[in-house]
Amino acid sequence: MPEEKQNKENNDKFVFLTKLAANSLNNGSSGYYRVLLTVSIVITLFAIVGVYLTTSKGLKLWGINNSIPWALDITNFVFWIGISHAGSLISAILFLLRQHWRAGIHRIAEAMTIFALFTAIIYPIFHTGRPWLTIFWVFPVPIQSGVWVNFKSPLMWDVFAILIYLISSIIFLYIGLLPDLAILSKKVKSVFLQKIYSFLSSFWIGSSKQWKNYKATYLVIAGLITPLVLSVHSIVSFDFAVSLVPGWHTTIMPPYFVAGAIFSGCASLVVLLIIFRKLFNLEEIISVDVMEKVNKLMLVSGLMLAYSYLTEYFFLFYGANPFENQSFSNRFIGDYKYVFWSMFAMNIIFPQLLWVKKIRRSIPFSLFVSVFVLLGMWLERYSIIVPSLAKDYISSSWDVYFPTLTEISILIGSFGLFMTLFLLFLRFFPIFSIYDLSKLNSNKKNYD
Amino acid sequence: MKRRDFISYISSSLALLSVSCQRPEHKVVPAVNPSEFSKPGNPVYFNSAFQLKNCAYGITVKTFDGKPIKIDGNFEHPSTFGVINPLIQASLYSLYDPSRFFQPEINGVKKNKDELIQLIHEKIQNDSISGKKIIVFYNENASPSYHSLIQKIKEKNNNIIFVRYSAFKSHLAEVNKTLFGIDAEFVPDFNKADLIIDIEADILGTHKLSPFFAKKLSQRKSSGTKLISIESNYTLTGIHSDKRYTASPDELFELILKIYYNLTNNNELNTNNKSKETSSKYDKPAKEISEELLKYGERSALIPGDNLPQELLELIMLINYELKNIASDKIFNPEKLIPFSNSFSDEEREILSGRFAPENGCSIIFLETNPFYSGSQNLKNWLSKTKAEDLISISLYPDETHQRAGIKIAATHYLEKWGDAQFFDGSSSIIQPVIKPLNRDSISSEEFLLNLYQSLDNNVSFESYYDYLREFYKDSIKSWSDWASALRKGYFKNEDKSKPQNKIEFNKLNAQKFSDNSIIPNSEVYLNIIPSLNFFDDFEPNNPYLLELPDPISKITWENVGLVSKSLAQKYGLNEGDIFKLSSGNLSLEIHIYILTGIADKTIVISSGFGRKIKNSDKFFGVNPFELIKIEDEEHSTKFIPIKLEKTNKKLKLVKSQTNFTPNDDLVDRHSMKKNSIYPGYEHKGQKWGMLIDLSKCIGCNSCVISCQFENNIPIVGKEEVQKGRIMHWIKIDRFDAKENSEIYFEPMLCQHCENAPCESVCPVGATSHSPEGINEMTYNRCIGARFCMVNCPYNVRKFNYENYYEKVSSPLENMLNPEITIRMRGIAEKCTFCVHRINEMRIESKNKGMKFIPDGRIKTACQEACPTEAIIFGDLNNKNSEIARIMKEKEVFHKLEFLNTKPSVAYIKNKRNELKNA
Repeated sequence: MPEEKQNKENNDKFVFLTKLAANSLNNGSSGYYRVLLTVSIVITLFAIVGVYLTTSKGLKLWGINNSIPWALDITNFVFWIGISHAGSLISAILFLLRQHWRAGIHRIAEAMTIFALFTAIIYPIFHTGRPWLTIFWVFPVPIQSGVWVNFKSPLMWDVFAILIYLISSIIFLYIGLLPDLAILSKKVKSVFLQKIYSFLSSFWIGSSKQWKNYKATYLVIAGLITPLVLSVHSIVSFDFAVSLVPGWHTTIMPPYFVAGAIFSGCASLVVLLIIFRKLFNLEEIISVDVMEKVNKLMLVSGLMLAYSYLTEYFFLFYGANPFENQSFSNRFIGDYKYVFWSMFAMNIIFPQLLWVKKIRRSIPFSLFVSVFVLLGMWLERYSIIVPSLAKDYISSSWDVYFPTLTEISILIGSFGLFMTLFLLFLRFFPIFSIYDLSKLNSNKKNYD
Repeated sequence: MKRRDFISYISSSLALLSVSCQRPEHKVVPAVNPSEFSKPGNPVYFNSAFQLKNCAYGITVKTFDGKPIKIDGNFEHPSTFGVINPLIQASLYSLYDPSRFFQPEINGVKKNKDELIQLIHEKIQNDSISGKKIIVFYNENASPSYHSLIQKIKEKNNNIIFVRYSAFKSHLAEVNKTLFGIDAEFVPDFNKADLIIDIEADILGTHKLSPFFAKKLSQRKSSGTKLISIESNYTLTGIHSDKRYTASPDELFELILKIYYNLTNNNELNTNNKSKETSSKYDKPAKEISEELLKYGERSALIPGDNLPQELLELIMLINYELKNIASDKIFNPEKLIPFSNSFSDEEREILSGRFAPENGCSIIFLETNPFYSGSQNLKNWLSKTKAEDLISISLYPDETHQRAGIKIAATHYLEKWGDAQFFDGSSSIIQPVIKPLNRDSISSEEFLLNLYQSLDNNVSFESYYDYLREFYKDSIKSWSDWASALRKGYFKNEDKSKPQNKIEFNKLNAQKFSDNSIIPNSEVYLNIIPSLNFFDDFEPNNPYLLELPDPISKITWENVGLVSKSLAQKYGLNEGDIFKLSSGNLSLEIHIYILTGIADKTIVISSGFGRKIKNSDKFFGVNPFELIKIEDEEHSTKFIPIKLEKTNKKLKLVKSQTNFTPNDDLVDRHSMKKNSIYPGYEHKGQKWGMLIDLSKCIGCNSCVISCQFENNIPIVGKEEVQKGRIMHWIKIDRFDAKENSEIYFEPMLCQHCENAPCESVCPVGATSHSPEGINEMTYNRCIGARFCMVNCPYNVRKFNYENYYEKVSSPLENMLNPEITIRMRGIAEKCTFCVHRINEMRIESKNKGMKFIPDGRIKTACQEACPTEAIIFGDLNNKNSEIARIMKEKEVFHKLEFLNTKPSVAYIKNKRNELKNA
């Protein structure tokens, strides 16, 4: 009776996973978790202090100047937006492609999307000179004065793209959570959580009709999110591609940025998975096989990025635009050569280690590679933004940029904010999808 | 509250308000609309004059509600026709400067003004009885009434010695006296010149008549007048000249002597024949220059710097005489002389050299002079011997001399006092106060002299200097209406009967025997102290507007540096920003180095006016080069001081407003990349404003920068912020080194008001937009400070308010701000507006007069107004008959970064030099 056996197995698995998820929510936080959370909150304070100082004292505290008005702020913005991308990729695109190994990690990936977006949004708001007005005026709210936003501006496109992405990501995460919440609302001990869970899943009865609708909805939303993976970072790249700045004004920017975003997203996912599988003892669910698959994804997107680099340099060579040459020579051999070449090593050379299976499957090595990739991707954005602005058309206004402590503290603090939000989420919501995991065929040994 | 109470409160508060800014006591007459009361919110203009040493400039002061807010040139003035420089414009700041000296005091005890003056009079009387000499240091000025008072006081009391004092002493009058019997300096008439050779005079930069010369020369240049410069420094004149020769101080004399031989073809004056036989590197330039001189003859002139060594000046003036250009109706016209530029008397000389030793000691009065800053070491030592209670200082600032004096009196600003000024061509101006003295306890030096005169002569009694002036000019200005018209126009013809008839009586016998080596002492390195372009010599101490104004060539702000040539720097192993020690005898000074190609070898150039030690401000900017001067040097020339150089280990990053001087717009062939837009452009149906900048006329004097700054309330950002690249000037003068040769050229850069403005499309909130008249407008209220406009502006002209720069402005400086322009808060971007408020003002006026369009030439932007060479033209591009449209059609114009298809409204005319035939 294979079917019956299968059913029983599935049922066992389901019970096991439900227990596992409920335990992690019920047993209280471990010592490591508390340490990590404290550290994250302390790091967040850096960002809070930095943002407070910037808003109260003004942008004089930053290293920006009239020639280089954007620097670390936009670098960080693009970096965090980039990280958010792997989340949708894993959860939506891989779902559509029936890659079931995503089951154990897609909750983490989706949460990463949302929290990275939250972190990213800090920058466009607080990098402006008058953030208290920015919050209102970038939305096309009909107001008495009749002043409308400028729809021609790529910054405006960013507002819409990111908001749509954020909202649909939250909806996607919520729909994925729905069956789990319904189950766990009866399993968690905390009354507070019970109430929240039952509120969020109040209409979920688990009828077969509802399951049918659920599956269809999930598919549709996944389908809707898929183009967002490509569009959001393309639109962010328009901030650069649409402008006149030599070194930015190039059509390769959208695919280049998307490739880079997925690359950095995979890297950050690897880092997060390594941390959380240790922290919540999920070595069984987030197995080495899954890690290897994410690593492979990282390798592929890295190659795509390398190809984009090549195309960019070919454009540079073939376009023979002297101003672009000037801006790129500032990147390659000028004031920012160390930034560029370390970026090149971290983004292009180190990831090639992942061709070796042993390294791909080795947790310390993949941690090493992905941390370097994250660093390299940050430097990539820096080396696109700053050197191009530093040497543009009018040579009399060429300048050099050095970040200040305030800017750096906001950068450091943003990692703390991201981790704090993430850790709090994992404390109160199931870390993996019970429903998706229980459906997995045990023969594939994606977990055991 | 009762109705009556309410009204009484209102009226009393109005009365209180009116106390704050009062009109001057005597009747002043505004330039236009001579109505009793100004309409609130409308500016009132007053004509007056500014005295830059003994050269006066006609100025127009714009006031709002009784507060002067801007100084412009008086365009109606027949002598200086509205030329102006940064110093004159920035002198407005010192009126409101919070660090002005306020409370008169005697030996540390605060007193009021009248008590103190009474005390001084008693002191003078006591001193006269006891035989103590009274020495009055007065500043070089162009005021006839001032000088007449000095004469009268001298006649009354011969115990009082008057010493004319200025930081840089001119030897020209001395030379003119010995050679031609004319005891004054000539004002060369460029209308009659086809070739001008500038010898260390810097006629476009640091000469006291430079704005005037710049205007004349730019008018003459288009009709072919050529300018050659011979200099050790690299000056604005050198940059602008058609041919430039560098000569180290020790070589300069040889070069001029060779020119002299070539012209006269005789050796008569040559006692030492050595230089003529040995061929030197100066044979070729000497030949070139003399050929040019021979070609133009009496239509050429050599203009020497007035503090060159006397022997050299004699030689140069002899050459001029040989060229036959010294006569009436020639370039050096004996009728056109700088007023009160006579040579020093022996007594003055003795005092200035610190050799004066009166038997019974002396008291010294400093009338707005500051020898403790700019005097030679000998003079300072001599002054220090006098006790503090015998030193009386009348000064605007608690400056170096003021701090030493026992009796300190506050002086009035020149915008607060009555006075007069004489111009070189016979016209005069009355200096009228435009505001009642902000400091009740201040006195002008004129009033002080008048009081002194009255205390000596009981027969005269004038209530004020105003009465004295009326009395003084009673022959030229008879009625009140004449007086009012003189004030209104800002000038009047002065029928001065006492003016001596100047005749040239050439006396060759007085000429020295020239030899090569005797004149310049031998040295490895020479120090050349020049008046600074911003401060001249000791004007406007620590004026932040002038401190932040970058030096046009080195682009250094907030300090002065030692300019050296590359070869000298290599010889001593110096790099930019290194600090070296200069020493001359036992005097020494440490200064930063700046390497500038084009400076003569063996020369270090330092500009004066920096390193001020003003009591109320605790920061020092730059160093004071006068600290190195001994009297032998000063009597000889402050240009050629033998000096020793020593490297120190210290190094500092220089604060520059521009860091790169290599041009890069020639990377792209302008026409090859010109694109045509696929979209039809916007059609401007009415007027479309545009600007044309003639690069061949721009001399880089920075006058426009300062004018714009005062007009548009552009904040001073401070030294640290300039270092960070946050200077706010809306118009900046970019300096570039031409690639093919080491020549420098200037390019004013301001908002180009592009038709396809890259900044407009990227602003998320639409805070910057295009007006139907083609102006790129900035809505400050709407700006959120995302800075995308700054990123996307290819011209990099947008500036950002990184903090509330006006937050720290202390009273009464806020009164200086232009009420027509808002103060920008932190966090928003700003840029040139094409002076849109002036356009709107004129639009209203034209509309009221029933005109459809604003007539051409009615609108002048602030930068255009201040430009002494008329390099900036503003007007309506749609009007085919406007000046700008006409010139754009006639001349070859280009737009910056044309290939980007931004379609700027600002066009440039290419820099062209007049070709020399032989060069």
